[in-house]
Order: sequence, then C-alpha cells, then structure tokens
Amino acid sequence: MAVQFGSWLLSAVQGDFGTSLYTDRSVAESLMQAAPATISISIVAILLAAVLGVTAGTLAGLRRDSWIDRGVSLLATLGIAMPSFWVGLLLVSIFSFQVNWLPATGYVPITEGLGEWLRHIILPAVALALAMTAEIARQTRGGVVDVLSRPYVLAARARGANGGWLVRKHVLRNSAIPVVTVFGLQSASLLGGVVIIEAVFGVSGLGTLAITAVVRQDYPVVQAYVVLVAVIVITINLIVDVSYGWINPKVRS
Amino acid sequence: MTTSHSMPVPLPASRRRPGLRVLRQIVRRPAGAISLCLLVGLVFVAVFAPLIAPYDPYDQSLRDQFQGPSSEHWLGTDDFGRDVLSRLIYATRIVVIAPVVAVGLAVLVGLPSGLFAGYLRGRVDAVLSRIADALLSIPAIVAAIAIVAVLGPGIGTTMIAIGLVFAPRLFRIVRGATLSVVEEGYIDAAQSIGASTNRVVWVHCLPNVLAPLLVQITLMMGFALLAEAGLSFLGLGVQLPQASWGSMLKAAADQQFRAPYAVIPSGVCLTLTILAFNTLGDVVRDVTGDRKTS
Repeated sequence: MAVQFGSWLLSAVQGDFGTSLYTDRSVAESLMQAAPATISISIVAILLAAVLGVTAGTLAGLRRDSWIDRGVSLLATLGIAMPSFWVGLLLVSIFSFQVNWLPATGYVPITEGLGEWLRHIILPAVALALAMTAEIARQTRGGVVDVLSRPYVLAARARGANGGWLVRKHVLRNSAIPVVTVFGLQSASLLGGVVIIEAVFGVSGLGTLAITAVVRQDYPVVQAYVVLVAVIVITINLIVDVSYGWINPKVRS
Repeated sequence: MTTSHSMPVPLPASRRRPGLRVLRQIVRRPAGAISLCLLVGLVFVAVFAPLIAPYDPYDQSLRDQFQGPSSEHWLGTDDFGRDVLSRLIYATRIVVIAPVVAVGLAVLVGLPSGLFAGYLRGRVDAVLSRIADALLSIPAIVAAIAIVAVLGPGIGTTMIAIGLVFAPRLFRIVRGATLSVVEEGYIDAAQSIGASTNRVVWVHCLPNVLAPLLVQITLMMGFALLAEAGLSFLGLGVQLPQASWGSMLKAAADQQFRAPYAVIPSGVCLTLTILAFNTLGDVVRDVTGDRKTS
C-alpha cells in the first residue's frame, strides 16, 4: 500500500492523476476542462465579498449604532444563516423566472464574450459571496470600532487628521489583519460552497465533476479533486501569511 | 449579532448546578429565550410528527401535483402531490437527529484527543496537531464529500462524514483551552498529590474547557444542519422517499420553472433553525464569558 501511494504521489506531482474508472479519460484533462467555470465563479464571488464586506463593515464601524450599523448587522446575521444554495434558488426565481433578465443555468467561457460570461456568472457568484461578505463585514466592523477607540486615532484627530485620510492611513491598515485572516478562512470554505452552487445553477465545474465521481465510485477523480482543492487552500493560507508582513511591518521580524 | 459584551458572570454562592445557572441566564435574554424555544419546539414537532402532520408525508397523488396553498394543504403539494407541510414536519426528525449524531461523533473524537494533546503536550500534541492541520486544509464540504465517496451515499454515512470533518475543529478548540488551564496552580496541586494523568485530565481539566466546548457545540449544530442540507441537496445525504429540508429544496429546485414558490417553505425553515443555533451560540458565549473562541 505504501508503494502504491508512493507511485501515485510521484505521478501526481508530475500532473498525472491517472485515468477515470468510468470514462477512460485522463483525470487531469477532465479537471482542466471543468476548472474555468469553478474558478470564474469563485474569483468573482471572492472579489464581490471583499469589496462589499469591507465597505459595509467600515461604514458600520465608523457610524457606530446608527441605522447603517444596525442594518449591516442584521443583514450579516441573516447572510450567515441563509444557506447559499437557497439564496441561489431565490435569485433564480426572481431574476430568471419573474423578470427574465438573467439565465437560470449554464456557463459560457470568457472567450465567448465578457458580457455573456458575466451574465451567466453573476447570480451564482452573488449567492456564493453572501456568507463571506457577511463574515468580512462583521470582522471589519469589529476591527474599525476597536481601532477608533485607540489613543493614536485620538492623537491623529488632535493633529487635524479627518475623513478619508484618517480612515485609510490609520483605521483600515490597523484593523486589516483579522479581516485578512477571515478572508483566508472564508475563501477556503467558499471552495466547498461552490460545489453546491454549481448544482443549483447547472454549471459543469469541478464540483459537479466530483459529485458525479462520488456517485459512480470513480475514486481517481475524487482523489485528484480533493488534492487540487487542498493545494489551492494551502496556497491561499500562504498568501494570507505573507500579506501580514505587507500590511503590518511589525510582523516581519 | 449580539454585541453586548457582558462581564464574565461572577460565581454565585451555590455552585452545585452550574448547568442550571447557565440555562437560567440564557433564558433571561430575549434572543436566547426565543432561539431556545424554537429549538425545543422543533424537538417537540419531531417527536410528535405523526400526531401533528395532517397527511401521510409519503402519500402520493399525481392528480394533486403542485397545488398552491389552500385550506386543505396549507403549504400546497409537491411534484408527487404530497403534502408539503406534512413532509416538512416529518423532516424535522432528520433535522433533530442529524446534527446531534454528527456533533456527538465530533465530540467523541475531538474532546479526548484535544484534552490529552493540551495536557501532555510534547510528541502526542505534535502528532495530533499535524493530523488536524492536514485535515483542516480541506474545506468542510469537500472533506465530507470525500468521506461519503468512500462510505457510500446515505443519511447515516453523511452524519459520520460531517462528524469526522468537525472533529479536528473541535480538537483545536479543546486543545487551546486545555493549554491555558494546564498553567493553573490546582493542576500542579493535583499532580503533586499523585493524581493519575487520567484523573487530572477528566476531573480537573475537563470542567474548565466546558464553556468554550458548549459554545462550539451549539455553533457546530447549525453548521452540521447546513452541511446535511447541502449534502442532501446534492443527493448524497437523505435518500428517497425520506425527506430532509435539503432534499425537499432539491426537489423544488428541479421543478422550479413550474412552481417557483416551492423553494420557500423548506428554505425558511432551514434559515430560521440555523439562525436559532447561531444566536444561541452567541448568547452562550456571552453568558459563560468565553471570548477565546470568537
């Protein structure tokens, strides 16, 4: 068994995950074919979550106990509790069946036009981004509230710093580290959530490939999929760790 | 979100029933009382499902497909003409059992390993922690899917998979809490009078990790329910004709172009229950004054 694992590992690092037990196709080839859809949805979702989450969290933190703060808190609580696949189904209900603006299913490669690609991707990406947006908003709000109570912010204010400069230079940078940590953790769990979202929107990506493989007991495909996801997660963790030093020079030593 | 950061609760004179004390403090907060009521209500519905449900949840009637809400069928009927309300009610049995079994398994694996890793440290800790690190590099759903791939689809294997996926997460929490307890004087005292490792771990360390453990268990129940619904949605969990809220969502999704509103009842139930677990978790954290796990 050890020898078997050794030889599998050796070919795996060379990009050879064997052939599917079911379709006789090379596993690496199947993964490559399914990857673009999954990667597109995930990246758009992560970008959406980062931008919306940080914006909402900062606004809520700066205007503590205002209606913005309460609204963001309420939305965040709901966003975390609502299953992403249900949100996806509701979005399809509204935007595909009620007003017929956006397609309910499928994926169009980016090579066939940016507009079509975005039209197919936006609903799954929004559904997927919701939970991550909520977590990032919560963490950002907490960080901003915490930093605003620090003496150096008072000192900066005393020197006449206000508005955008204060927020950018002092507040955001100092509240960024826990936010980046949550960003990393959430990006990883988003890679799990995308499996279910693909099923909702009938996108034949990596998740669909993996689920089909599970049902068919097609082990080489499941194995390669899990390894691929693990490698992506470890890469994200590495990027997060490196970014700590970039955000806060004190961490470097 | 509960933003009020209460001070750690001062211990009252009677320390005989700490469980009862925590419960009383949970109920005293509106958010805690409401979410606890909802969850207890669910258990009640699950136990008495046959008495409450107006119809047999498996009774098919193809003539009555996709009816809207009416006085006969309060939430309408599904793709096989089955009463949606009755199916929702019977599905609460899965909702109650699945998270308990999954989280129970996670506690069974994560609690002892976490306690011993935190108390013994050294080589035991290094080995267990590396295993946990490796398992945690795979997202929960993906890891659960991989385990279901080995064990085969079904609600039983799904619960085992979710439990195994949560075990390393629980291990980390328990280990961290134990590490901070080991420094306390009373542990030294227990060791110096010759208490065995087993006794120190279970009698002296365990009570001190209960607070973060309780918080984590409550939050994990919500995640376990979400994971069960997700896997059932994918067709890996509950198998037909049995119903879970996740599999009902899947059935509704497949017929969405014919009955766009069918996705609402089971989705609302899921969201409310997960919300109740999350809120209860926050309240327990506030009440026990435990902020390490936040």
